Amino acid sequence: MSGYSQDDLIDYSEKDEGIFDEDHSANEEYDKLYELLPQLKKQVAGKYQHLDEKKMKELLWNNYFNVEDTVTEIKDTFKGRNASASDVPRVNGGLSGLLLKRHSKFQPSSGGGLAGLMARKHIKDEESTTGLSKLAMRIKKQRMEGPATVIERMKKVPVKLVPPKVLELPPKKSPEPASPPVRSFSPELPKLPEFSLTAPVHLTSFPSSLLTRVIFFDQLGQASPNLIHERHQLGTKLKTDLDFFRTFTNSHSDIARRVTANFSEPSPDEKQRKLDQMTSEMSKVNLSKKKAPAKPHTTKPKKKIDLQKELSEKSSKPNLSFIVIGHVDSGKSTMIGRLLYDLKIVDSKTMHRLTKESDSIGKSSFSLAWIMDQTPEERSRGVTVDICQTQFETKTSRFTVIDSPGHKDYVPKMINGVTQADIAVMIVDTASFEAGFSNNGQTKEHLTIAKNLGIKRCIIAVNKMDTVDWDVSEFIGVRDQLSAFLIENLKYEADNLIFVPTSGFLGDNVVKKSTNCSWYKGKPLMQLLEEESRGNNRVFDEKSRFIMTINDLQQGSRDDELILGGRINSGFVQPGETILIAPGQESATVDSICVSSSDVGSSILKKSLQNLAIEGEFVELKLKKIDNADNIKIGDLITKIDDPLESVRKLRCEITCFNLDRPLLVGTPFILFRGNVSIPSRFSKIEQIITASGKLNKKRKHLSSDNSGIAEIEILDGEIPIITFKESEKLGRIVIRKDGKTVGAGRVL
Amino acid sequence: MKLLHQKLERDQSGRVSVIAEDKDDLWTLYNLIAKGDDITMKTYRNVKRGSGANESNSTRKLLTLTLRIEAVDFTPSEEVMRVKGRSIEQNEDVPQGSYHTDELGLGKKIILYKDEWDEVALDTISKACSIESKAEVGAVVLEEGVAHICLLTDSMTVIRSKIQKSIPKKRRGDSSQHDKAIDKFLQSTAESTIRNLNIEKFKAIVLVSPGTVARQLYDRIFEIATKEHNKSLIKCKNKFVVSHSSTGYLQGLEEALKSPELVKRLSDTKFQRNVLIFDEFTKYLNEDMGRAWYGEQEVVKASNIPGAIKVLLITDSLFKNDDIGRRKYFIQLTDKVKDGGAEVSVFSCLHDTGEQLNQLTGIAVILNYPIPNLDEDDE
Repeated sequence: MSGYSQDDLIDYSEKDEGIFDEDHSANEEYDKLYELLPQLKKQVAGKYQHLDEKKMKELLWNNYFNVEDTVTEIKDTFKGRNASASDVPRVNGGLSGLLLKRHSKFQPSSGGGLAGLMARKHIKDEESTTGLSKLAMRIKKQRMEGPATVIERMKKVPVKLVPPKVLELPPKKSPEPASPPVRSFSPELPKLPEFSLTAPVHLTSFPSSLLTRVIFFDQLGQASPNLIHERHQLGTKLKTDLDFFRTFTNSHSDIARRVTANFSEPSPDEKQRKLDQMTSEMSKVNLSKKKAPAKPHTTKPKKKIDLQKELSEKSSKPNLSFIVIGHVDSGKSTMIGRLLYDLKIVDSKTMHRLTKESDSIGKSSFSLAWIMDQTPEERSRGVTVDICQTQFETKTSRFTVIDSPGHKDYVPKMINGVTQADIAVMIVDTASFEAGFSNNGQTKEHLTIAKNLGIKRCIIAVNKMDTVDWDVSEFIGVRDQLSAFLIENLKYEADNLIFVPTSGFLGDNVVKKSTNCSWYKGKPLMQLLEEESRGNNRVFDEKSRFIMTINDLQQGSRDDELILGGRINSGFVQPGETILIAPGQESATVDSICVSSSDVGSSILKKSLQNLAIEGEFVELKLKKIDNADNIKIGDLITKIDDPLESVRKLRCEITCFNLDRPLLVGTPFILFRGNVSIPSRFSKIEQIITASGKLNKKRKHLSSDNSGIAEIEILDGEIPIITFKESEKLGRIVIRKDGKTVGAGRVL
Repeated sequence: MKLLHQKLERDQSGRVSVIAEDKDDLWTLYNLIAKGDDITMKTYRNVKRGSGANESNSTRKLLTLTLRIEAVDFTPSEEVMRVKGRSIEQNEDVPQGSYHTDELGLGKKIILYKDEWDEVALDTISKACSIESKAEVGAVVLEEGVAHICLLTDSMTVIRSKIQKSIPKKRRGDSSQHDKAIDKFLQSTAESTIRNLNIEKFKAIVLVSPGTVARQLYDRIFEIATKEHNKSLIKCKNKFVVSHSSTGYLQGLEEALKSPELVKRLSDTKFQRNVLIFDEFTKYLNEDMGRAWYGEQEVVKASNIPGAIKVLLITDSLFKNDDIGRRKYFIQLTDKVKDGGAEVSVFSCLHDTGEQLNQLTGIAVILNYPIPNLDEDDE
């Protein structure tokens, strides 16, 4: 039963926040509910009589017991709805309609929307391969527990299993399991048709397979145990048996006839066999066709555009990408959370929910960080694991924020993030500065990596100033130590470093200027970033070679669709053009280009289709008709089809070593980072070694601390497309790590 | 390896009859069989009957042949070794001097004749035949998106399966695709681990990853075991060791083998010892104080100073040398070092460390005390 434990299901409903259950609300919530209910009633009295008490309660709950919000929502939702009698929410008792609305509202930001829920539910089903039999077992068990508990459970189970839209359906039928077992699908069987009448609109949006299962198991609940086994076998084939499903959904008057008709037809097994046969015949035909694949060639953009006009439009708003780096627990995710919250990109509802959730596991101080840290692992451990980027726009600029993990184990991910950023925002924890700044801390390592990957400017947020009472001497202490390291060891220019005292948790000097530190004369972080973005406005060279790095791969809505997210390193691309992905040499046509971003002050994540995407932009390319999606990996480079990149196994580099525990020998394996690829490699040849004192040593075969030299790196696992430092300042840089330490950096020659 | 018969003459020539029982034995044989040795074994050969016009009439026949070896070929991932040579005995079906190639698999008896059995060769045989020194360890090295399932024996690291999946990034507000992909990845890795590793036979199974992925895999494996009522697997629970590395690529394994918990657990296995010795060597090398040297010339020099060498590191590929003179030279060198009271550690080049040592000329020493400038030429 582990696949479907009750706990899981409960988690589920909590996570997706959508379902209100009065009986299950906490005591205080319950009290509050009844305290506020009369107020609400008074406010809506007269106008919305069709609203019954239950609905009001639910609305209240959904609005976190804020009466005003609830009233607004009622007004919004029911405006004009009274007029049309056939309207969905009413037919459905209003409840599911409301939920639907609520969900659709939430979809962009919370992902807890119906589609998301369905998708997840679906996944769960798919993954526990024996999920089906589990369910059957479960129902069997319920039957044995006696009718009373069955009803109780039936009420519970479907509420959690089935998304809100069919919420009302299962309870209706819940008394039925008590009735004597019925052996076949006889016409007088259930009241199923009713459900199809009440919810036809929603049904269309259902993944059919899931619905089939839902219905099917309702049936099962009434079947005798030995039938369950039979039905279970059948159940696996149910996907193909859509006709059967339609019988119960699309008609109601003549199901009996349909059922009999259906059973007189060939059995599902037989149909499947025929289908298989047909498929194999079809595939033969396809195979012979595929023998002569059309050679991919350049294709013209879908639309003819005025390049200059589009370009000037693009450059009117500068685009700045910044990565937030720092030692673990210095408050990186919280800082970003605060930034997004204060810019009102994350609305108070979402924030409220996160606060509640984090409170419930005793980590209330993490609520802001949870905006970026969403995976269960990240939340339970309170540590960011992977980078997370998000985009937003102010009046003057477009920003891409990249949150990075500070934990030592996840430096590789942080490196990926750095390769996508223009500037770095370093967060330092004032209170425990030493821990991060020591040799094992990530403050130094992150800065070293950033510098070596070509980050020239750095804003250093001296964070958690509230914990030291905004003591100016603490700030100066941290600033001096850091700038000494940055300027002397990493050769940063003093002009390129900006220090700002902040408190990410309380929001001081993040968006608003803090009133707690009169001694700080500078600007808050957000203003500094806006200034940076203006300074970062580079001149776009339209003749430059189009290269894009893949940062993210998501499955499209269809199997052969793929959405590639990434940053354009140089050049531009338009929908309709054919691209080549190295090193897999997969080619595809760009179907559309999309930028998703939020406006300051609005929590809506808008996705806008682009006619053109240029250097520096973070875009999503939708590709259709991908033959072999496995050939495309995160970190691959995209070029145009007529401009292939050379992929190699060996590359010649200029290497500088840092402080090493063990020398780098010819043959020592390490991990090579280039762009956002990380790949196991080793030196195959060390051509030249210059020791720390500047002496040339020809005989040695190993690089020790602070040595530099020229070496040939051999990739141990496949090939990578190569771009020299001369060609691209970003992609021509490499970093090497071994045993969890950054041991060297260099440039591709 | 099973030693059936051994007969050596005074002039050190002689024949040994053995049966290979596992992969390690094949590797041992691969290192043992040199060009010019004779092998007698049973083998199938297509024999042509009749003559002239009827030549196409051939049948497959089981024969006992003796070959003079010209080439030996071994792929660690497969459990066979190929030997090629010319038959040296007249046979009614096979004329003398005709070429024959055969696969030496597990459980096949062969008689190996050498003109000269040296110290190292005999030692290799006796080591391969002792049972207690054998230990197999399973290992899974992984990170989010990539997993290597491998098998460690005394002389080799073999990747049994590699799982690679692109994991979509989490996004603000929606990480469902990410979570789904991670879950799938863990599931297939766990299933593949159970399928590919003969867990009951192993001394230990090491799960290595950065972060908590290894722990998640551990949980997942036993979730599956419980679900499937796999009692034998549940019994092996205490054989599993979850350890930490900085990467999910194979090199993470070496890193993990140095960790105290695994040192304790696997202290009596040869590869573990080699990893530690190699680590000590590189540590001294980094200090650059003259306590560690590599290169033939340097090692020879150090061997001439009595009591200087603490450990001699040498790869088996130096012994596997077609040039008998070179082979003898290295054997003499190790004998000399051994007599001087130092430890000799033979690295298998099928392990990562041996491979690295090979890149560093294949021979190296750790000294008892620093001797600077060992690399300078004497005038």
